[in-house]
Amino acid sequence: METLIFLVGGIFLGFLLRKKNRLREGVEKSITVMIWVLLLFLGIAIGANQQVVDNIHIIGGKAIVLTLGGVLGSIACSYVVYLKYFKR
Amino acid sequence: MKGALITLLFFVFGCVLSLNELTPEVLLEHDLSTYALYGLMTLVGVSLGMDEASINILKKANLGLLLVPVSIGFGSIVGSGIAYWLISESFTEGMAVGAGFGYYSLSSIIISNTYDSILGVIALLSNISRELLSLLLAPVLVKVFGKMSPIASAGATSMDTTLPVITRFSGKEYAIVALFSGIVLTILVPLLIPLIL
Repeated sequence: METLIFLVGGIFLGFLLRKKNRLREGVEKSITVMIWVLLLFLGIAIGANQQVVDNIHIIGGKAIVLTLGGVLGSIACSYVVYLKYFKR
Repeated sequence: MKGALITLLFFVFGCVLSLNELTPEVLLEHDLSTYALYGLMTLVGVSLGMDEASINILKKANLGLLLVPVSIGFGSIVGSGIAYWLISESFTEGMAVGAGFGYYSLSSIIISNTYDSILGVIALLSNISRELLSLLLAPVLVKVFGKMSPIASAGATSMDTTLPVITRFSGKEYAIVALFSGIVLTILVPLLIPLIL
């Protein structure tokens, strides 16, 4: 939940700084670097977790189930919108 | 795709480091990644707040256009929740992974730092495979489910990585729909995941 406070604070800050075009590129680059750093941390935490290493096939299977559920659910719901507003 | 590979390499490199017990002691401190997450969330906020081009696209919204990301987001979250529940897992956890909408880096980081690192890995794998599936199956989806389906399948990635494939198979007239939907879903990822968990 605290993460939302930082997100909203950031949005306000960004809105105030929106005319500072030179900042934009720096912000995007920093996001990429932060994501790299955090995924490195996640990798480190996971590699040290024997439970994950031993059960990687189960984890992969769960991931695929979630992917299929999400993709089919989103296609089904948006299909209604497609029929009503888009299809000619 | 190159960007995705580099991003993944960092994760794999981290795994290799700790599997070989080469991790420096300092990096194992849990707080470090929590502060890094706060920093990342602030930066994501700043980039959203500054992004006038996206805000201008969002202003073009009419009801039909607005319902595209709303229905895609709702369908993803509930679809993943039901799928996870069907294999006797937590409905809420399924919804949280579904709320990644293909934005694998941010969703896995938020889930692993604020909830559970194993679910974070599941979110990483699931959302990467969502992007891959959307890239590979776009032509099939269009044939079977119509021109909106690749945009639905792509989720948040329809504004960048999967946009070229979508415009090719759904047609140029769907480019603005894909952009709009991808932008809205991208904004929703960091908002919805903490709210669901």
